[in-house]
Amino acid sequence: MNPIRRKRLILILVILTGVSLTTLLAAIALKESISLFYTPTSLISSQTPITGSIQVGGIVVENSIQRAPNNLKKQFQITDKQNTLTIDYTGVFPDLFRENSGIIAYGSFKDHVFYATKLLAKHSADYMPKTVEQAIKKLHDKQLKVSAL
Amino acid sequence: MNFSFLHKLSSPRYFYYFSITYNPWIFYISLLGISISLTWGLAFTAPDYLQGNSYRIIFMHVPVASLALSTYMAMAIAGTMGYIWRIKLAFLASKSLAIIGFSWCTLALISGAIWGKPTWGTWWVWDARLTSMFILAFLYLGQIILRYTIQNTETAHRACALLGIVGLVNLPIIKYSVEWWNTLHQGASITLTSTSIAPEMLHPLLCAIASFYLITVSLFFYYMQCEILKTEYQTTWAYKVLASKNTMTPISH
Repeated sequence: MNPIRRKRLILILVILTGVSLTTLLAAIALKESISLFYTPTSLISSQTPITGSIQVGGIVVENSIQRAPNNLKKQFQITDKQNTLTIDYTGVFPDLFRENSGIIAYGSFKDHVFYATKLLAKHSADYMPKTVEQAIKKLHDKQLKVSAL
Repeated sequence: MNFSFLHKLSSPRYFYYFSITYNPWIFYISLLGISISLTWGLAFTAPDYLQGNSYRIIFMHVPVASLALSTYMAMAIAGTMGYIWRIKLAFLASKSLAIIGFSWCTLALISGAIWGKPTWGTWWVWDARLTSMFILAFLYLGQIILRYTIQNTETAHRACALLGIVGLVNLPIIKYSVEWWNTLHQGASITLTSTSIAPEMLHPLLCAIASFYLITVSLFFYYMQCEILKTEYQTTWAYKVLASKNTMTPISH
């Protein structure tokens, strides 16, 4: 490679390395603030008090949804497999709100309860027709029965 | 290995005639591919167990989003080749790819927002994936605008090549944003080794991805034809081509 071209190649490599390093450092420094939401663990174990309007995310715990009999008040728990967090919400659940699936709640954290004003449903990366889902469920139940025996 | 084919292809005249000969084939095959895969995906595939019919936007969203990233990569590589070896055709390739990539990126953002409303419950959130994709659109826009701002063509090409390399750092951020940070956007459904999409949905999706890639190649060739004629109009062969098209009268010298 002739010297001029080599110089240009080196310039490009220097730019690429410099920009990558800068971005890497910035990303490490901003790790918490780039994340869209806290997990129950990061919220509970936070050293500094977390106040104001924030987001938490996690998986809805099975059989944890409690509905008030005559209004839209609801309470449920989300988990990140280590800690669970109780969420208080008044309103209608989003369409894709299911037990064992991910949600993100907007609101504030006070006295170990998260008061949500808005819920977003996170959807998984799995796509399948209903028939396939039922077949998997059937197989899963069968295995449970076998293991129960 | 014999590189004479590549050397020939780097001549604007040879590239132009190569493109004129083969591009119509590429274009019609990709158009056929898109019609088949979209009909297959939209009309002959079962609805999703959870999302119902709204998941079908995947057949367009995934190909265009994937292309927005690949086109940027190709654009940056072309720009770098132009910068190091001062190949005119590489700069033109970089210029063409910026416009194509910007279109794909915009379509990915729009289709993603349309998908987000029924599934997540919102058009937009500032999570890492959506924000980094938004930045990609502006990196493309920067390329396009920078070329128009700098009067001297050669300087403009070089400046865009360097800008393209700076923006390259955004590509891994987009790809891994869903793993590095907590995001609303779900993780990847297709990786090199595995997939979480049922086969009957995966096959039309893969066909759609292949067809969209092919039409990108074709659009690239069409853009290149225009760019080559625009820069080479003073040469005898390009003058003849333009005169025979009778679409404009080149200035005689």
